[in-house]
Amino acid sequence: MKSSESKRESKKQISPESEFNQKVSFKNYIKTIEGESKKPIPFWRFLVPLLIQTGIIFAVPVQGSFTNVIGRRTILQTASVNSTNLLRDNSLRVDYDISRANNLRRLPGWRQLVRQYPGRNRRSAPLADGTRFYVILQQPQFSNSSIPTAWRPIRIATRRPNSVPQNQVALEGQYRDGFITYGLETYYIRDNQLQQINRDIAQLQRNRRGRQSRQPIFVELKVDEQGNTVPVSLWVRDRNYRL
Amino acid sequence: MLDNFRTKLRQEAQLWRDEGLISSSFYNQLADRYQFNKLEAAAKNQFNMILIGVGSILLASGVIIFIAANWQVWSREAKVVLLFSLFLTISIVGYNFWKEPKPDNEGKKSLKSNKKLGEALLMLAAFILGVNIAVMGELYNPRGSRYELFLAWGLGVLTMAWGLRSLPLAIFGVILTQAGYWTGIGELRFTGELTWARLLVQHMPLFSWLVFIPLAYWVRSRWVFALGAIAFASSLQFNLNSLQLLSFSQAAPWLASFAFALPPALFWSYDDLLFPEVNYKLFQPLARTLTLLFFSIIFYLLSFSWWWENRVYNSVDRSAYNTILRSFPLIDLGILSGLAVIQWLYLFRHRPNRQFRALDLNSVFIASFIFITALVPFLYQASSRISVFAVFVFNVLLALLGSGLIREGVEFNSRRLFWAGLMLITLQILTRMLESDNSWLFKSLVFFLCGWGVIAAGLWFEQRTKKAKGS
Repeated sequence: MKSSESKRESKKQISPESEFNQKVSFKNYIKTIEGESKKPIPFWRFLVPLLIQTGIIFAVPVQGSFTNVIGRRTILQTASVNSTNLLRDNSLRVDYDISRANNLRRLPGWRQLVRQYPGRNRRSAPLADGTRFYVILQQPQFSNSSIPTAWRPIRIATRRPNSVPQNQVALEGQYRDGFITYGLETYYIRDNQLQQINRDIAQLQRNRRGRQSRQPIFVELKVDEQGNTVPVSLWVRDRNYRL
Repeated sequence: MLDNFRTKLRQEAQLWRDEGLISSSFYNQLADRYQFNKLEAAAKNQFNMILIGVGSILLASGVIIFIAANWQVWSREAKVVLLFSLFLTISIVGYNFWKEPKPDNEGKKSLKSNKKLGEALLMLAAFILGVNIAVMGELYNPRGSRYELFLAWGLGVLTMAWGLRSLPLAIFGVILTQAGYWTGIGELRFTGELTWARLLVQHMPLFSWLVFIPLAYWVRSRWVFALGAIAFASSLQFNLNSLQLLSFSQAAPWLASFAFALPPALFWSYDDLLFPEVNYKLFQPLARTLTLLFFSIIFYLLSFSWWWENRVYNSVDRSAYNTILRSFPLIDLGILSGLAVIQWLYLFRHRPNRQFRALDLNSVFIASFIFITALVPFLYQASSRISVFAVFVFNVLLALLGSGLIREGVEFNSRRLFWAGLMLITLQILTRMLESDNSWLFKSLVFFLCGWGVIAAGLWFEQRTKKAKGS
């Protein structure tokens, strides 16, 4: 008796909208709506998203070619070059002088960076993993014409400098476990070209045995104002391979 | 399944007719209604479809193996052209199948299967879009990170879902964007340039609410609504680091309050009638359920004392707090709070009549919950820092929520509400008991009492609903 009364009461308290809501289930409502809107979807509603998707796909290469046109030509000194031919995936892994944190430690700006983003351990892990910063490279004054000369790091910046002189570029790097990656470490190269490169490097190393000078292997790239980079070619002494 | 039923029905009907149970005119009526004469054609059609399916799987494998075999040989441009043309072809073919119900004599069924096929092809095109973006990234920009890929992919899929009002694409797009958010959220801790992807991750709460919720309305899907709402609430918590903020002494005290109060405020006051051309509350019941869910989770979490004492995140250094301040989505908070205020005004202004006070009572109840949830972290951080008070308040709120759910469940004979409330209260009692160091005897007593209480309450409720149904 009491419960039925309270039920009636609760029914009374419901607004007309929610009563409509309770009578018509979600699925039935969707069905009636679908019946109403049988209008076919116009073609542009497919075309515009397709164009946007195409834009997304081609944004990356267009950006790359843009950088290629307006960027500054820069040359990086490599520290080691390894090729892998795993599962027909021909890639060249390159490690630069500026990839090692030890080589950047004495540059101006490094101590400030360490103070701002300290790592776990002052000696073994000075910087916090994942820290992003900028390495400013400068063109050398004397350059030999046949063999390119690498640009030298001159300072470290925590933020991207607004403008750098004509003979300098700023590269963005990310620190992890004592190494800095610049997104310029892996290159996919066709099989025959990779074999050629390997032969050249092997010969170079035979000739250089015992000498302490730097290996004459360089990567040439284009860097634009925003810090975007595009690899151009690989130099092994005076031989040039397009990347 | 349906055809199976029809075949069986035909067999049976023939049997009945032969036995004289039904007249042959009646049999003809049945045959007309269930289209017995088209059964063979339908079976043939189905067989054809299976053959086409097997054939297309073989074709696709052929294409994939061909591409894989020649991948190293082709130049970069050839790869790009090939993948892109594959994407374009499948998109266009899928659209053509999907779009127009071509009127032919086969009737409605083939239309439906055409539409299904088109939908499947469009979904495949969405996958190939991802492959395209990934390959472009690898060929031209190896420094791009994975979260950028997911976000770009998700945005592409979402635009197509918007255009075609396609439910599967919408769900796929939401999931992809969320995958991008969760892989990219770690990036927020580091400094770096403000790229589009970073911006999107930073403003994910705003983006989820302003894009996913209208999308749910647009494709009429409660799944998309729930996913979008969860994406909004979780990204707000993680972008603001609300739980961590509690233990910072110098944090701006209102930040955590906003993080806790904004989702329920938006969910509860959500009204589909704010959208144009709607006279039906599509998602409001779901939104209100989500409010209660959010409240249960947040009250339960905040009823632990260790969030309030500085123990948990003492090890986090100051720089972490600085990065939060630098990247916190102030614009998001502003816009979303404005939206919440508008929704609440609408909720109270459009009260249809004075007599529907029960609904309003609930809203007032929830509004005071929201107010207290916002107030307590603020008071705690601004002045007193007495953790006992905050913990006590949230325990009371949790108990109130649980008992409120039970009360509503009893009143409206809703089994779900009743059990949710009961479980919440039991969980609270057990957690508080395990948190404090008591003797084993006491623990066993509490377990015993809880179990007995749940069984008794459950039996009583079931009995009551049975009676209510009977009368």
